Amino acid sequence: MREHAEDPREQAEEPTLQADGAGELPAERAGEVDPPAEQPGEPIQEPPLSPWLSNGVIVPTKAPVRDSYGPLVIGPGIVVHSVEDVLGWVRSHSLWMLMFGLACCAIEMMHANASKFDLDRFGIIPRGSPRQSDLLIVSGTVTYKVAPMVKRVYEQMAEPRWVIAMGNCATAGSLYFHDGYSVVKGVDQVIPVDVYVSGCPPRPEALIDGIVELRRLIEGKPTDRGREGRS
Amino acid sequence: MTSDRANQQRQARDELCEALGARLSGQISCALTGPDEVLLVRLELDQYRPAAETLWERGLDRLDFLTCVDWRDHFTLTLQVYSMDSGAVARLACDLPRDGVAAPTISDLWFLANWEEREVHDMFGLVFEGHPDMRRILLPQAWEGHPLRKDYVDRLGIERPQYF
Repeated sequence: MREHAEDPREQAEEPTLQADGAGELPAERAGEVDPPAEQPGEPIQEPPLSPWLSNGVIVPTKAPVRDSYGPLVIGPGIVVHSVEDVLGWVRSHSLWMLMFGLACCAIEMMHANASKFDLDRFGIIPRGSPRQSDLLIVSGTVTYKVAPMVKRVYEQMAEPRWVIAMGNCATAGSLYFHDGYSVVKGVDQVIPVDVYVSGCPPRPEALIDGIVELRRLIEGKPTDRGREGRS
Repeated sequence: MTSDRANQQRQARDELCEALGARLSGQISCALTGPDEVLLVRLELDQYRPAAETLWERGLDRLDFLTCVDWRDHFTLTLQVYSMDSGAVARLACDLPRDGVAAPTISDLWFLANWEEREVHDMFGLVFEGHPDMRRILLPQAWEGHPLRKDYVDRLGIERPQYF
């Protein structure tokens, strides 16, 4: 019994020894790993989408995806990178959002801001003034009476600025499409839209998915839906 | 308690009928409608303002709603008021032609009727005579047409399904 009890202790000590001697590991395990996986010419396969990420965001166009992204390290402490990509990286990590609720989608937007989903971890802070904000989430039904105000708020935002059309009303007019005499059939008739999030109203996960998609667009990375960023 | 309240409501309703009959010299038709037995009084247009004044003087101080119905050949202007004291409810229904006729305002009695009449004007195009501020309330001021009329044509021209 004691011999059996001592065996797992010895086995448990082995990984710590391996972690200490990490420099030796690649040489030892090089023979174990299959050689075809390290061939340079093989295309890198993207990981599959998680199932909950696939709800909501409509990105209609498809464009060819660039092969490689990221900075080029040419020496110790020397990194070559384009200004656009650095700016995109910085901008995508501090999107300040305008507090602009129009209808019931604003309730879900507040929910996404609250502690359970916590948009603050994406660097998204709700701001009270369009002068201070980068991101306009059109959350709800846009009527013809409120459309001039939406356009004015958009024009008051400083560039660069981005717009998310949240929910079916802001995307296409939703259930007011046929019978709503007073509802704009999609806010993209008034202001340009970067990302559309469907749902009535969309859950906070869908809104966060749209925000992640927008971050990729800003950074110039390929999105989940195969569209290339515009930067 | 509930039976006392119901008796009080019933008594106040009967008194209302008598008061309306006395004011309008008996030319009205009173009926009880719905499961709550609301007093429904059908009127001509020239009886509308005196009947509303009578209800206001009898202490029906809360305006439940003031709206309009488009029956394609005529409008029905509907007013329901309520008494916070006795619990009596009275509903006035007044038929009037769709065009060319102005209804008298009651916004000097119930202040809430100010906005309600503006909404009826906005949605149906009915003009209230004597209203202090007869403008649209919901739609933009430059809007063409009145959307809740049955003959309203949507300016967007989106083909809509035929419901009825």
